[in-house]
Amino acid sequence: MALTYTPIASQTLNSTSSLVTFSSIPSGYTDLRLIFYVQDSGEACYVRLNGDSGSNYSRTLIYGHSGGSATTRNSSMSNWPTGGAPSGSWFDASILDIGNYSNTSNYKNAIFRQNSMYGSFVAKHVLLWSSTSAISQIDIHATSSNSLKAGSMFSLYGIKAA
Amino acid sequence: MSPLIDLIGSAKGYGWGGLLPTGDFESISTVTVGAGGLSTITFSSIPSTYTHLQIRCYDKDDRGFAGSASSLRFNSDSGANYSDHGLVGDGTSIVSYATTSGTSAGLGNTAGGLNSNIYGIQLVDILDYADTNKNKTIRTLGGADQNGFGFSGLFSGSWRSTSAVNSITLYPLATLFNQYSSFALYGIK
Repeated sequence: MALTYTPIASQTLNSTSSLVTFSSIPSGYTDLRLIFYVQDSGEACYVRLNGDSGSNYSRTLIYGHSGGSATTRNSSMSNWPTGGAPSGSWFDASILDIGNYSNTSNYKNAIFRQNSMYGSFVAKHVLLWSSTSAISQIDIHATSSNSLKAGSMFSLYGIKAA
Repeated sequence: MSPLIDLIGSAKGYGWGGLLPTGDFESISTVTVGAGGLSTITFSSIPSTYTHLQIRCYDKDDRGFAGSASSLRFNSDSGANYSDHGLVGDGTSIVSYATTSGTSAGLGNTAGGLNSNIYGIQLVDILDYADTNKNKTIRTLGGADQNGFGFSGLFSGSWRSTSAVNSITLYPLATLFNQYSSFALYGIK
């Protein structure tokens, strides 16, 4: 059987930063998995693919917290919002699974699972990037005037199908 | 080990799987649908040497709507031995459902054939599939966003059989899975 689930790269911030980039992602896998363990001063970090800042991102999500559960949909966004705990010892634990990231026939879809210990909520997003380009770069941005805090960890894995 | 690593490592159970050592997650078989589509996807002769299975689906069918769904059967069992449950939102309302004594287990929402280039995504975990003392449980994280239309859901199902799973057949809600749909089966040790 073919072995798969391979670490591609990992970054842990030693100091605050406005941006974390995984570039030159090899095309030899089938799926990508990015694990976040993140603290962000604005509680609002976000993901862009291949540096694309056009209105090509959308999502449908369900989430739950102590006040109940809900669903939201956002269209034609300039990024995928992914959030983050703002301060203290709390870090949001999240996983982004991107399917068939190197195919050039279809738009890219993904599942994002967000567990916020700080905000005491859990969310599950289905995401779409309306582009047929192969994904070679993933950027995690802090919003303007905010930053990703020291200790935030980002690990990228490749999953290869037989 | 640092507290950060330890925290993430504690969540490594399959589905999280962030720190799985190399070799714990193996590719078993993959089907990519060609021109003309396929009415079913079957994984047969599944080895019993793993602990869990995962199917990663990027799929759509020929239903003439934006949304659709899919389901599965184990070991070709078409009896009324399945049940499933779902919690799903479309951006406006969130609903839950349950079915009993079905002839297949639903995998929840995916994409229909209305919008080209857009496929659904379903990550399906099948727990302890080779244990002959337990009925089988599956869970799916799935849905499809289509920039203005979408479903996102959590789904679970059961097969009331203690037989080891040695084959899995996937079915579209409509007639055919469309070209470029892909289904990759993995074993998790």
